[in-house]
Amino acid sequence: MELPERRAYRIKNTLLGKPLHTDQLVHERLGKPTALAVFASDNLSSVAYGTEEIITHLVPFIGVAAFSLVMPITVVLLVVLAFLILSYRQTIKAYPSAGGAYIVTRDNFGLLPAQVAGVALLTDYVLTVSVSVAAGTAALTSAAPALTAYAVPIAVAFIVVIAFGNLRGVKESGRIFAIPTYFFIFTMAALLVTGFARMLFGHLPVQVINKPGMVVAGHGGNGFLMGATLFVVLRAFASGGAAVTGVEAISNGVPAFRRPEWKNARTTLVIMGSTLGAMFFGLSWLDAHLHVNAYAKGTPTVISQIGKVVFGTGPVGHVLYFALQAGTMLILVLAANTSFADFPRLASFHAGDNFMPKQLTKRGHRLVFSNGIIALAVGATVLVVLTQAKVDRLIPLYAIGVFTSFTLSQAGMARHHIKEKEEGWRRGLFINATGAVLSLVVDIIIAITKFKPKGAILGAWVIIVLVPVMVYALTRLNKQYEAEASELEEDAKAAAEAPILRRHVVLVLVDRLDRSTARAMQYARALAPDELRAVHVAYDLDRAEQLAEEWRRLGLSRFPLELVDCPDRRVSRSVLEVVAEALDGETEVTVLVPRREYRRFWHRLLHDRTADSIARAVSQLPHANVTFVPYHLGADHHAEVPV
Amino acid sequence: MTPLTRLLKRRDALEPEVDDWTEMCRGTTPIESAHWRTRARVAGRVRSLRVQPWAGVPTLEGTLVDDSGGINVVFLGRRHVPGIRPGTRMVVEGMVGDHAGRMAILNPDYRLLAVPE
Repeated sequence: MELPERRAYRIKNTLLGKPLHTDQLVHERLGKPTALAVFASDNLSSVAYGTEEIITHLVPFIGVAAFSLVMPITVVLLVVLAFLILSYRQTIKAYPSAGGAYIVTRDNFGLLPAQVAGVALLTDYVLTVSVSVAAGTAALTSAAPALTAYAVPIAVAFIVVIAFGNLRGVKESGRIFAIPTYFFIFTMAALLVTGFARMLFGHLPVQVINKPGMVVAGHGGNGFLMGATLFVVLRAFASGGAAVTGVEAISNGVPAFRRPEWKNARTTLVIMGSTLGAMFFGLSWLDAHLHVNAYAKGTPTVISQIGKVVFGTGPVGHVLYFALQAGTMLILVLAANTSFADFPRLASFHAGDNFMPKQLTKRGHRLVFSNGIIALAVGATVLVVLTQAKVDRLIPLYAIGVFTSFTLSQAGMARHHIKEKEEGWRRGLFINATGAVLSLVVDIIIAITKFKPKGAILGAWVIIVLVPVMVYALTRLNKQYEAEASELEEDAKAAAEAPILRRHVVLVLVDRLDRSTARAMQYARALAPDELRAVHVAYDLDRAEQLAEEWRRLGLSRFPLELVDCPDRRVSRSVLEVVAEALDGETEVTVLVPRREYRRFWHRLLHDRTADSIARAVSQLPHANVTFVPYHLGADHHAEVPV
Repeated sequence: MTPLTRLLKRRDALEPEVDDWTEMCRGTTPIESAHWRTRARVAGRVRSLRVQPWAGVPTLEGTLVDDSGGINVVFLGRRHVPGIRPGTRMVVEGMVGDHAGRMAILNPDYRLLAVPE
């Protein structure tokens, strides 16, 4: 027998490829170089906007003096980064299976704090996508200024392409990731080496900081902070904090490493951190000496301006400059892709613990968590459109979630050390406790300084409001799931052994005498019940009499047709009353509802949904059951046996 | 419970509508007081009507209800009684017997009533 597939499915099959077999769910094991490429993109790509964010928030207040403060701020951020890496080395060893903030927090503090960590991280994954895509677009428009006007459509297109690729199931296969990541590292190395070399020979010109379109410079002063207030410096620090995000990626994916997993993961983490540190340091150092100011519009980016200055205007310089821009764009897009791997997995953990809709645990057509991917894509698109794909507008929302989850997971690790007292636990406790405190301090600084930036609507407050609201919603959802589950499980065994009822009455709802009714009657007879009645709700008396007459003429009178009074024209209520009458505690009642199935969506709109509303009304009664007998309009009915 | 909280309750039966016209029909008793093998005169509304062959004889069977309960009314040998349709209000009088295991008045005297204004 031929079983046709729906058109929607056929389209899906064409777009996404053939469905993958469940057995094909394999976990590729990655060597260190490939693992670095796979996990580092989120982290490394942050340098593309880290230095720029510091500059943007300093120059308007202290002018040229800002370039003297870039380095100290960068160094402090690098200290934070170093502690995060030391802390995550502990996490990787203690949780080699899956060491995400959610799991660590859940194991050490319980489900509720885990929700906070998880939700904070989830919101940040959405932001990672938005920020990376916006920054990637900025890298593109810096190299090709003509595209600046189309920044939003370009950014949205990036999201759509990445989401589509993930729905198809871009395997975390190393080669696709390795090329852009190492290409970026290579071009950055070229930039930094050339920059230092030319600096040594004194060739590099110091830039003007008040070109049209640039951030307007303020006036500096004297003293330790060059005339800036502590608040301004802290805000620049908080904005630069975005540069150290993405450290957690490796700890989420330890099982993907070759044996011994945790050792390889730790080594890779250190390499990643050092690479980020070197690039961030080098870029800030170049900027501090070249005095490259940021543009208010976000393009051309600081890194692109530095590239132009360092590589110069010769043909080789041009090639290197465009390579740098391409590398930056690619790694930023890849960073967005990392979130597409992490967000759906984290959401599936939540859903597995009954804290998110169960749909998020289902693997789709290509064995990926399709619903999570779609949710992330929608969220990121909304943000990108709202902020017009401007990195600067997104940054205030960013990083607060990551640092919240850092804090919780490091505190969780500290607790783990106290509980388990494994070898070297004192050292681990010191590292993780320091990591937790540092993250907390950074988190608080971010929350205060970026709460609501001047002239902007979006700010850290969005996250501060959103996270508790979400956590409340998730716990509420959890309560509902638990209540449903416990109700269904209660005395399930006794219920399974309950005797069947003595009688079975089948009622066939008849609206008119047609093929769909005939089909329902045929099926009803096959059930061989103790009593079989056809029921017509007489909302129109003339029609009812006509139907009764036809019923007699066709010789169907072996089965009594019952005409039920319905003075208020509420058909489902009348059916409900008839069913209630038939129920006496010893009778199982089945209501057969002939239901027309329509071929096209708009065909269905031409009819009301009486059958469904009847089913809803009747099925609330105990031992009342509803069965739809489908009749497919427009299908081939020749195969049916005539009644 | 205030009327408003009652109105806003998610799932609650409406207060039953009092349909007391049957009490005004002279000489009738509520349906619930009809007993087997006694003569009864009751008033009510035809809630449902079915045609059913019974021992080879076509039989029109209806359920008559008032506020107190319901009783079957059976017309043997008839497929159709003019004027009796779902919703018809009528007064019936006859001996209460049983029909197919249920209490019923067989071939009663009946009078149709106009729908009250």
